[in-house]
Amino acid sequence: MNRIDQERKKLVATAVLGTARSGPLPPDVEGIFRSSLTILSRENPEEQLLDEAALMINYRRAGMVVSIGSIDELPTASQESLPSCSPAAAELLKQILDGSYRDVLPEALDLFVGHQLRVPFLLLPDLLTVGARRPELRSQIVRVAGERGKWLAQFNKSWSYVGTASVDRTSEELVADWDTAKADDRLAIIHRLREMDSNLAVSLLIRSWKSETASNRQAMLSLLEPHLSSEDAPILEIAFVDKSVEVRREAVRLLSKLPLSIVRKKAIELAESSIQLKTRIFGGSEITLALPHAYDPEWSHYAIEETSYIKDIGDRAWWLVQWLGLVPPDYWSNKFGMTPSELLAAAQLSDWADALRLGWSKGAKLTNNHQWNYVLLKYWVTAADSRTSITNLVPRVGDLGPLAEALLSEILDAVSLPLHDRHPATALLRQYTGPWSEEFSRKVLANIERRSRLPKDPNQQIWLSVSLLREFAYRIPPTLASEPWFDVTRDDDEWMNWANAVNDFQNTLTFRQNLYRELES
Amino acid sequence: MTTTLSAAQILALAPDSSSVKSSRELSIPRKWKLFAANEVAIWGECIGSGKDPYQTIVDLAQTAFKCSCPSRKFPCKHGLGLYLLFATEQHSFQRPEAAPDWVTDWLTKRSTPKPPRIETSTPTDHQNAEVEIVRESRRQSKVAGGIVDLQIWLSDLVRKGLADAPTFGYKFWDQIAARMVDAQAPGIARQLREMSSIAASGTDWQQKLLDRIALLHLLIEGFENRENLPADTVADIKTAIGWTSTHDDLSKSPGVYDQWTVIGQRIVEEDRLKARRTWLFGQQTHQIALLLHFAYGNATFEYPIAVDMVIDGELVFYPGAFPQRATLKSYVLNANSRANGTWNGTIASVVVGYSSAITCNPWVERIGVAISDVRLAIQGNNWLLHNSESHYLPISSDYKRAWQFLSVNGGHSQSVFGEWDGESFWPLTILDNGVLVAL
Repeated sequence: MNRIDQERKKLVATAVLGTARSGPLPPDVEGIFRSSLTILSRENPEEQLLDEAALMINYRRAGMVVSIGSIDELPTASQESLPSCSPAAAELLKQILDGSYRDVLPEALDLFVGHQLRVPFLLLPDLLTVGARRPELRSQIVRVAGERGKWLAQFNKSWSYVGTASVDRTSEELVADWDTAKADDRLAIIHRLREMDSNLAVSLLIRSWKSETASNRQAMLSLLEPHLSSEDAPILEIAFVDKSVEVRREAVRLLSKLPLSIVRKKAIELAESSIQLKTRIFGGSEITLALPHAYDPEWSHYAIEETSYIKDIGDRAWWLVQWLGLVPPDYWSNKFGMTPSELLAAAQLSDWADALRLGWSKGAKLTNNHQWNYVLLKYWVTAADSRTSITNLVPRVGDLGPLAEALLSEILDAVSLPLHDRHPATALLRQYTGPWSEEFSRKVLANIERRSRLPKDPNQQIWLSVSLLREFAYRIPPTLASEPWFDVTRDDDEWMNWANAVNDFQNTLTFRQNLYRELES
Repeated sequence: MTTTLSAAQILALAPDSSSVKSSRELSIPRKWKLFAANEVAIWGECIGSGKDPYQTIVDLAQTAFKCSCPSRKFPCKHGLGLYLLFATEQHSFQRPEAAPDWVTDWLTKRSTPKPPRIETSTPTDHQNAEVEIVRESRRQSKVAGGIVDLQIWLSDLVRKGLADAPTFGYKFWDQIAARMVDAQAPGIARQLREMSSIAASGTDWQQKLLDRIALLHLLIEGFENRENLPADTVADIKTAIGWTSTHDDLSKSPGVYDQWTVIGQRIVEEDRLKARRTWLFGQQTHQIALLLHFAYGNATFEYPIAVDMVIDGELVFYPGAFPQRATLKSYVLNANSRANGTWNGTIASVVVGYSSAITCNPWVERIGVAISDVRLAIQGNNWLLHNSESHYLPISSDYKRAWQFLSVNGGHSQSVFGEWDGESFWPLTILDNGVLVAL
């Protein structure tokens, strides 16, 4: 400790204790401030202390010297291969990251990727932080973060996903990352490896299968679905006998998608032994069923549940639903030479009609069969089945692929009243996240515009219809932003309920239009 | 074609993020019933929720805004929205031969000097000076009275000791601060209120508190000894105590003409009072100047100014031994000029510069410093600026934009502008390939 520090310590100690207890400040024996203090010649110990403290702080501040030390230099970031977006586009992205139009982010990232632009450096920390919270956006984020994003992420643990999600990482590097990667990052590695070297991904999974948690095992298994093939059989067979029923269920689901798998064979064998098609005397066909009377314990290996949790579906019917759900519904079209609609009509006459429809729905979803999903969803909407327990079995609009807008248009045309909270198309439209075609968007907007002109009906809530408009602003093509969808000069009573939502709708659409324009320029 | 700020510069004038969003939404033609421009201004009528449209004007030369809307924000979303529309669609603005009366009236009012205050009898300059002397003398007496009380209070504090300071509570400091407000010494009152948080600031609070008390003691002693001190030092003492110079007073003094670039801006808020520190750099003089603006509660700053704006103007520095704070005497926006990268400060010169500032004025709280060729580094949880000579400056532990800084920096050697308070650096802008980036 040098003499200044010693003097300083003495000063602080005296001040903390108080001159009443510590007595006057001991003399400045080293004489640092002696000459100055002599001039002041104070007698009061408090003044003496304050004088010296004032001299001390200014002595220290005015006499400060530059700090010198060996500092570890950070590596420098590589040159960027992608150009940055324009300042105007950066400002729009900043608004999204700051919380305005937050839901536009996935679309904005797609646009950046599509136009091969990178995000400006200043916005990278906020963008990478979004990726830490939202794994589904990571691959896009990594693509637009550029070299600087990868460079930056190495200094912050919560952004470590950037390394593993990076498209230019080699399979060797990914394998090297595997043992030290966090659970989320291991998922990203499997996802990336699956695209680069499918078998390598499977061998990594097998290697660390036992040390993964059940939920991670299930999630990793799900990642195999996009490129599923018979070469995945080794890991699927391991998962098929997993101690976790959720993992087994996922393995059974994936195995059922492989034509030669034991699961597919077993499901067809059981379903075929139960289902028969009879020709009716007066024309048409009828499906008859002979279901097992007892649950076979062997079925538990196939994750078949013994007890039904579906309202109005008994246990025997539930077994049928589960086995049917493991068979692609096209199997039945081919076997009986009937279209999905004809098969549905034939099932209608059966005592087990509900179970047949649910089983086929499950199978159609599993195999992503657009035609079957279309026919089945149309049935469920028309039937207005309100059982919440069947929600996961019934197809969603997204399962219809290119047929989604056709079905929604049919429903909109079939109902004379415009959209309201109990309209059959309302829930489906909310599910349909788009992007919407121009033609379909026009139809929906014209419908809502018609709704906004209806006189107030005490039986109908208006808030849902109004909020639909705000949601749809994110799905409608921004090319429609300039069209006058609503007469904003209206001043009738009904308009009061709509003015704000219409304003928000137009603002969102205009914002997206600006984003497209700025990123294209 | 009229020169204008860029969209990013206009949005930087927005008082908050919701204004950015709203002004963007208003920057499309269909929101405006009318929008027009001439060489000096743009104006428009915005369709709002009211029966009549809002009338909005922007003075392009001085970046001043006027709107008939009731918003308390300044500039309001209409002014910014209109300016943004102009920045992107200048060609679609009408160019009438004559501006409407409501536009010309306001522009004329702005360009006309304020008339002298009307008083019942007009005193002569001599009488004015006498009144001022009497007023100043009264204030000095009042402050002197307050300072006597403060000396006794400080002596008591030092006699009893600082050990229990963390338990004193806010009221202990506030009572003596209130006495200082009564004595017309608001600067001292502020310093006393700040001391209440030092005692609760954790490590090394004893040393920090003693330092602040010692500086206050020095201020008191300086005031009492003012007769024997140089005029600039007396000016610094009076500023630290709370004397203020009005813009009108300062405007009588000669100023420094230059092309001033806004190279940094920081807004701090305490007890609902927002203080905006805007740092200017003279392109010719290489002088750094500080503009201070205040806004209370939900109010926004009256004078819109943002980083990267360049203004041709005359600055008058407040009197003092270390001239730093200034006011704009006259100015026009220079939308053609950009910041140029001629900063040549070093870490060593920051330290030396601060020492010089302290030597001139011991109550200087911080100085604005431009440093070239520095890199950012991380040591544990601490951020540092360092250079090739192994000199380093610690960055404040309260600084929240270090990741943004690092991202723009990319590990390269760059020029940085920020505030140095003798202990830590607060980065405000980086010169990235000749472009000022506000952090």
